[in-house]
Amino acid sequence: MQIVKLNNVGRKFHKFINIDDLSEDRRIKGSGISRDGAFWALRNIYMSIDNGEIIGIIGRNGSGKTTLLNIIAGGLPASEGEVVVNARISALLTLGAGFQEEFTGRENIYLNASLLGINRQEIEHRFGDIVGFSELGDFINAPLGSYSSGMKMRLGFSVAIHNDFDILISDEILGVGDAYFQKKCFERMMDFKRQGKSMIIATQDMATIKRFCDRAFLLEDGKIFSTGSPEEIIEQYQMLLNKKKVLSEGSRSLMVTQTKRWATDMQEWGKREGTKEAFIKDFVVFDRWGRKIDKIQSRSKITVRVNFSVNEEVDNFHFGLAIFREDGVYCYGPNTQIDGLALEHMYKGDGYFELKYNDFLIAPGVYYLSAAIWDKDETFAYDYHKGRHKIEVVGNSVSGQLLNLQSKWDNSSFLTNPDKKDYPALENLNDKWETQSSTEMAAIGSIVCLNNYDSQDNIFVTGRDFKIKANFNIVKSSCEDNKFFTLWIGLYRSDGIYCHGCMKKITSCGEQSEALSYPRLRLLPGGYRVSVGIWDSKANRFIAYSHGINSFNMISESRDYGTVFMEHSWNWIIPKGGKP
Amino acid sequence: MSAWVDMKNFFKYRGLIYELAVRDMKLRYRRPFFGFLWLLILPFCTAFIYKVLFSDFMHVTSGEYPFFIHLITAILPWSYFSSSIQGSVKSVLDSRNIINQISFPKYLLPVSTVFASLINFLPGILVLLGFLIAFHIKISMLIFLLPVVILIQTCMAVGLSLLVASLQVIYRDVEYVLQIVMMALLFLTPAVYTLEELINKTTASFAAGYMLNPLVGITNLYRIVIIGGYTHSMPKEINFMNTLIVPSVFSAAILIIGYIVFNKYERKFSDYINV
Repeated sequence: MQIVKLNNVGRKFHKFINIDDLSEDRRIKGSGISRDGAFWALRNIYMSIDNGEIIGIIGRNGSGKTTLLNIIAGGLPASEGEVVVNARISALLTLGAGFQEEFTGRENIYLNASLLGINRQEIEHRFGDIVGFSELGDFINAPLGSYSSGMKMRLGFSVAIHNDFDILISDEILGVGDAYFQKKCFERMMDFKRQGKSMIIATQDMATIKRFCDRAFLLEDGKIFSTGSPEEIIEQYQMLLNKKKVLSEGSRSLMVTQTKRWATDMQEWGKREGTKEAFIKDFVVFDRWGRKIDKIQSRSKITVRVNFSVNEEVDNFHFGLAIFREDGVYCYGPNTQIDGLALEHMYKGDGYFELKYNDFLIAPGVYYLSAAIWDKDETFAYDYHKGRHKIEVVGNSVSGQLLNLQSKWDNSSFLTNPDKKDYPALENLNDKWETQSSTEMAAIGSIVCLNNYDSQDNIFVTGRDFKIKANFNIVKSSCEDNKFFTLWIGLYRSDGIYCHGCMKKITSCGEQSEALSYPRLRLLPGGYRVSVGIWDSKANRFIAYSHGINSFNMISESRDYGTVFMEHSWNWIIPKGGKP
Repeated sequence: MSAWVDMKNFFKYRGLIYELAVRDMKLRYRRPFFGFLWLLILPFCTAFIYKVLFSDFMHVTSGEYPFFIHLITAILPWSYFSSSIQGSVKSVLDSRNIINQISFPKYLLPVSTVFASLINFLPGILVLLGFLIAFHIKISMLIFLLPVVILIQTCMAVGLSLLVASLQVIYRDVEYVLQIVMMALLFLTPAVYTLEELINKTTASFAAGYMLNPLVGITNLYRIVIIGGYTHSMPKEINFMNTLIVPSVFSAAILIIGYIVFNKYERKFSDYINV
């Protein structure tokens, strides 16, 4: 039975309170550093814990372990996502949380136990056991201020385990006790394990993880880096620890560098395959208010629901939903397994699953959806609809783009946006991939990509800030009589698919540079190219361009399919059994 | 829905209110030599100082009762009210070591502070009754209504406590503003002077506005209920409306507002509490 479920949980903290009052706009403007006072201590956490499971959580300092435990324990509200806990929790998070230094051990037991929601008779009933386990003896009547940290730990641990609970949450506490007391705690924890109670243990002590845990999570940078058997995860953690910085060259080998970028089965679109224990009935798209829609507004919040029926009971399955452009370009295809969601058993009946996109980054056009209910390892499908559902995306966007990303020119006002008639005709570049040219009127200088620390790089992490800086020169003589040019910067996939572009009106001449920022660029792993062009709309030609010569690579911590990562959450109603 | 959950929690955690209130009291009075006696000494000494100052030196009149009795019937409830609210204002902030780690209903922190002040208040009432007997003053027949008056005042104190405790987490100026407001409020109630005197010396419209202050109503209620004040010569400004209805409605309203505001800000506590 699932007792804890975290669905796309995130927690935001504020570094400086005053920044709160600034508007969203101001925050983005203020150069690269600390764009806003907020940072995400946890993001996109999917986790489900079954009754009786012992979970280990490891990660470096500041990776979000304590925040995660506080959220599960219910002390800290999540900033986004859904936390479902169907169990009584006893938590041991900070040494002596809720202890009062001036009070005696005895008084603290009463105070702490009542904070945990135990009533007075219960406490009196267990008082002897609590004191006995903590081995404090006469010190129980001494003020807590006179205790050593080991004594406080013993008291705290003792109170926590004498609470009726289904899950015990412990955060790097046991390290304080001596070997004898640790042994005693472990014995007690083994008892709990045998009694079928769950535990969540965060620790730096790998031996504990290896010995107790059924499953481990590795947190890094507020995200679940990986999950699996303790041995496997500990090994990954050691690798991670050995790298000084996560982004140093070596540890990049841990990152995902490639994704699927094309539909591999376009000729089979419109067909379905699968063993049909479960079969997909239809697709419905909803807007943010839950209304059924036919056309999706680009950059809006939408939900795709897939209705299905189950003919025979199914174990260990997962859901997947992918979007392809009509020419087969893979846009995005998350599935519940990649997202770390455990789905175990479906009975016969009807159900549905939903994928909710917070920000639909796909540019206007015609797309096809594929949906599947897979077995555990994606070796065969129970049902797989290949590109069977056509959707149309509408909205304001320059045509030809695949994506509708958020981007912004540095130091500019909206007045510099060119009119539609001044947009460059990109067809002119069709056969000029990987070439550049300049004329007597203008030339493109260096083009550099900057990471979130504003330093030059050619490898970037999905979901971090990204900036392109282009230097160019417009010859003085060419900019007389109110003439202006259009600067265009485009992002291409390394296979030549135009992802996103931006235009800016250039009225001044001479040596200059412009920078285009993408806050939290969400391109998925793989190679990308940058193109820059200066367009003369009067002459209807590029007076200088560099097309697909500069390249950069995206990497990510998690596996994903497609071109762009879209923030999303899963939701489902699966047949629960009972009377048919 | 959430209000219903809070009600159930209130029942489940009633032991916690008690423990937190006891914690409050113990932290304050365990070490001093006179211990819990300070609970009684403080309001009575305050009343005594006011008596010397206003009655003996400044010759302020006190109507039909000795000035000390006139004072103490107002100062005692006032000190309950003001210690509840001034104690609550930092109750959430001072519990920062448990807010993020333990899941318990946070509104119990200010509520337990009010509860602790209430425990302080009740022995004072008994001592007051002792004084009445010593001064040969007839205790009013209405004394059995005292719990109702205390209930009205407690609701008001809880509501305001929830309000200031949650606002204090985010706006740290609240405690200082509160000090000023509380001082002003003390002199805006007929505690150190008599109501008759105020009515005689001010315009009719000011007096009518003054009477709408729910704390004036509460003070009058305490006097009526304990010593039968105003029963012989009721000033025409005192009526059923501003003595009972206004304080009751205000208490109920502030309780609801306090609850709503506290709930609204509760999610933000974890952001603001440690900065």
